[in-house]
Amino acid sequence: MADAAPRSSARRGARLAIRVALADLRHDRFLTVVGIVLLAALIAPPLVLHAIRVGLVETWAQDLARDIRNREVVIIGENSIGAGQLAEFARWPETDFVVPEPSFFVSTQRARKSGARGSSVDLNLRTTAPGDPVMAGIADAPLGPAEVVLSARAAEDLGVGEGDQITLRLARTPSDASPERVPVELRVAAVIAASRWAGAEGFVTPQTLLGFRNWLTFLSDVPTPADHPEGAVWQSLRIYAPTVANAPALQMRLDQAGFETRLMTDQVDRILKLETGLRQIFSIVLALSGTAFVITAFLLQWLSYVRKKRDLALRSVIGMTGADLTTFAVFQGGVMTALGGLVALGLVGAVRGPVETIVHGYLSTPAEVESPALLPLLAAVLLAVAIGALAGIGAVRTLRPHVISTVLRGD
Amino acid sequence: MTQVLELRALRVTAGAETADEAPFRLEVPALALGRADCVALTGASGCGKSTLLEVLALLRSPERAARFALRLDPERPSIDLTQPGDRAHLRRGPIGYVPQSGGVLPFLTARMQVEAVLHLAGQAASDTARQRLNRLSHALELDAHLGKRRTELSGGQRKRVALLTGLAVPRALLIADEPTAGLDAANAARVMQVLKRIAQQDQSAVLIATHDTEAARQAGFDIVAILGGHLAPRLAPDGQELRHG
Repeated sequence: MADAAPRSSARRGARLAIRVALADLRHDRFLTVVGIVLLAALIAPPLVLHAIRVGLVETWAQDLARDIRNREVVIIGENSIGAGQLAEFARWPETDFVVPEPSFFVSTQRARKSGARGSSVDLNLRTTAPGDPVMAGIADAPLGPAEVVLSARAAEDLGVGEGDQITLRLARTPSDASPERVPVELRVAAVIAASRWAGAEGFVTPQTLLGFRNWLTFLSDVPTPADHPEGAVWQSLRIYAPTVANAPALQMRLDQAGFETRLMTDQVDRILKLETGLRQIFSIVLALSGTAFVITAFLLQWLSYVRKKRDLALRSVIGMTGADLTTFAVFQGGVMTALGGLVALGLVGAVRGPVETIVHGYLSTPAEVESPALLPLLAAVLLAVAIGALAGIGAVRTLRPHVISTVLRGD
Repeated sequence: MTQVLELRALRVTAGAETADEAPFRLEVPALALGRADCVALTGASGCGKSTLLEVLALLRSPERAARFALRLDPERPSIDLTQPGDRAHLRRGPIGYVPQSGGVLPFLTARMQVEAVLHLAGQAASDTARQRLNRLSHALELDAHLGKRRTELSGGQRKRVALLTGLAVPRALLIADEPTAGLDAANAARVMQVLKRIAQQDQSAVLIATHDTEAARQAGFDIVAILGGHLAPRLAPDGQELRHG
């Protein structure tokens, strides 16, 4: 009960301090606006840069991650890859999926819809096997040796859909006879959407292509699928990393194993460089803006104090305590910084449009642009508000009794 | 008589900006103000009138004091003002101070400023306080100016608004630094009458600094001159010497 009166008095003082602080900000509105704009100008650059980094890099990264082809490391040229080496590649932690491929001359054939007239089109054949990430959700069941999965573009070129038959026209030329041609019928087991595979390709089992190779190289008389492909030596691979980010590591591993490789896309490298660059710029801007912000916050509060020292002294005269004056300064500093922070957050929202324009220039498929997490941004603004409030305290603490006396007399 | 304010062996030192400069020093052997006492401090400019008022208003600390106490209630112990600390809360109620100049906040209207004082004193919702405010505003001829901010007020009006702020709540000790400076004769007389009346009405001790000794005497104020850094004997308005303590 004895403490009730001082507590009530303290509450009255704090309430008045806040009211007076708001009245003062409104009265001095030009300088208030200038101060808010200054603080916003210092908070905004790191926030905006952060928003750009997140919007650009993360959206782009997710777009790349969505495109399975970006996980592929492309083998350049032809090699000799045995079963042992294949098994070793499959064991690497950097490998998600690997399937052998024959020589280029085997995999590129003329094809057309079975029973259709007209000219054939070139169809590049790739191998597939259970676990192929490109087939996930499209052709999960193991592909039969007389089946093919076509990409949307290939299906369109051939004019076929799922369940149709296509005919490949294999051709070989014996050294002492005229060219031989043999048709091979394949059933279209599935069609891969363009968003999953943009090229014009067909996918068959390694046994199917091995059977073609055997016929094309005169090892067999009919291009039937090979029964025992385990002992075969292959010329290339379709090999995928578990994620796009892992693709460079898989590439490095293959390079170390003596392969000449390239990533399916150089965007992975570009995005990593972009992210590194943006992070470095962000660090520099953050350091500069942070320092300038702290200095400006203190300077603004101190200048305000110098301008209004006499008013502060008068507030002390009418009975506002040191705690009330501190509340006043904390509130004013906090409000100005909070408004500056809100302006900066508004700018973050405003740059969303340009960021979307930039990002969509990089994306293979339309996607929602990533926004920075709100919590860290709010935390940054709250930290700024705390600094602003601290600046207010710093300024008002210089109002010592002898200062009050001096300024009251206008000395 | 119950003393509101008691001072003994108080010394105030001020003004030395550099080590070479001799500091200004004011010695107050004894000073006591009772309820409804009205005292005018007089003396040449720079003699220490304002400095002493600031010490009494707790805006600056004395160098030393054997006794510096405020008694609000005869039944309760006095408040020892020699102890350091933030005493601003005493200016919300028992001690009122009207500075010599610039007593008006620029961003509030005169009414808002006076209401701020009522708010701090916990009397914002009091009808009695509002009636008192209206009476004083009328007495100081400020009724038409309460809605104005500092820039809209003349010098004399500002002076009276500052006085109204100091008078807004009943005080045990009201201190006014040259409350009539810059006012025309009629307004100066009006202010002195208001101060005298308030002292009687609120049983306040009123202490002012002034150069207009005659006007103070005519308003019924005792006179205490500061001469050579010391307080001269207190004189009644009729010139009779009174004891300080």
